[in-house]
Amino acid sequence: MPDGTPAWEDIARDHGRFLYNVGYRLAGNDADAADLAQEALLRVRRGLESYRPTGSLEGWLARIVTNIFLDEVRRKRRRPTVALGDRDDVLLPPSPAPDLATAHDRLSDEIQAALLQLPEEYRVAVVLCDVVDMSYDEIAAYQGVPVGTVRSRIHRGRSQLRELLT
Amino acid sequence: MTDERLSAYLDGALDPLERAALEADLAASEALRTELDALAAVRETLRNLAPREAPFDLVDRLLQAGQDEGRRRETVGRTGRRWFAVASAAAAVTVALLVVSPDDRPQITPQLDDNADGHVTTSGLADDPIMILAPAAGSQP
Repeated sequence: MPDGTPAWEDIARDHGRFLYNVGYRLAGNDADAADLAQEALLRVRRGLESYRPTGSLEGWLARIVTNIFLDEVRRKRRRPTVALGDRDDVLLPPSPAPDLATAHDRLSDEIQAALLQLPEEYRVAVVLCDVVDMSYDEIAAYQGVPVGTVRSRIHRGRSQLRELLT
Repeated sequence: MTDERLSAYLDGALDPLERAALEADLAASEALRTELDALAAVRETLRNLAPREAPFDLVDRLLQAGQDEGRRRETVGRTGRRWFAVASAAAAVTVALLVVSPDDRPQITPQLDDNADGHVTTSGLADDPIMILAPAAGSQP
């Protein structure tokens, strides 16, 4: 393992919540977010020996969660049951009682519900850009697509969100 | 279709030429500026989203899952090594049997050669009963 590479336990402690948050933004519900975070950590544990830091650690972790999410989406598409990120309870998250909910919580729920209505390729691009803060070049390299494709996906994703949120 | 340059502009992902061209277009078009503002608002909203609150025991669960995986792999590794040792021993015995010297192999009694020799006819053709009944062509009594 290269010098400076953290132990998997440190990643669990320091970045477990980050894995969970990215998983939640992609999948849209807490149960899937927890599963994604756990599977990502197990892959980190197995792959840490071969980890070569070329970008940020969180960028690497976000790519792992995204891979798992997309694998799961493809798997469920082949054997359709209830598509990940396409469940009624996800699209319309139960709102807390109005007097308890803060405006911020409501906005967060609305944005999450809108995110889930984006096609996965747009959602992934937007989440990697705006939640993980990866650059267009990093996203393009990770997804193996031209930078122009990333630019287009991010723009279309944001434009659709704008329509959904107005 | 909206102008894809707008998002890239907000993200600082346009090259200088594209950026200059877009800024000129923005200066000339109120509609484009409105669109830019709307996209900027969406971008800011996404970037300012508070992280989803994880379950309080998330880290404990992750650590537990990692430790369980470690133990599982250790067990699988131990079992694999055990099977490997057994298989190696079996292979060694097989090889040893194959390389045993031919002189050490148990002898089959009676020997095949001896058996064959014992059945070779020693009588002459004249005593052959078939020859007696049907003499060879051209041989007159």
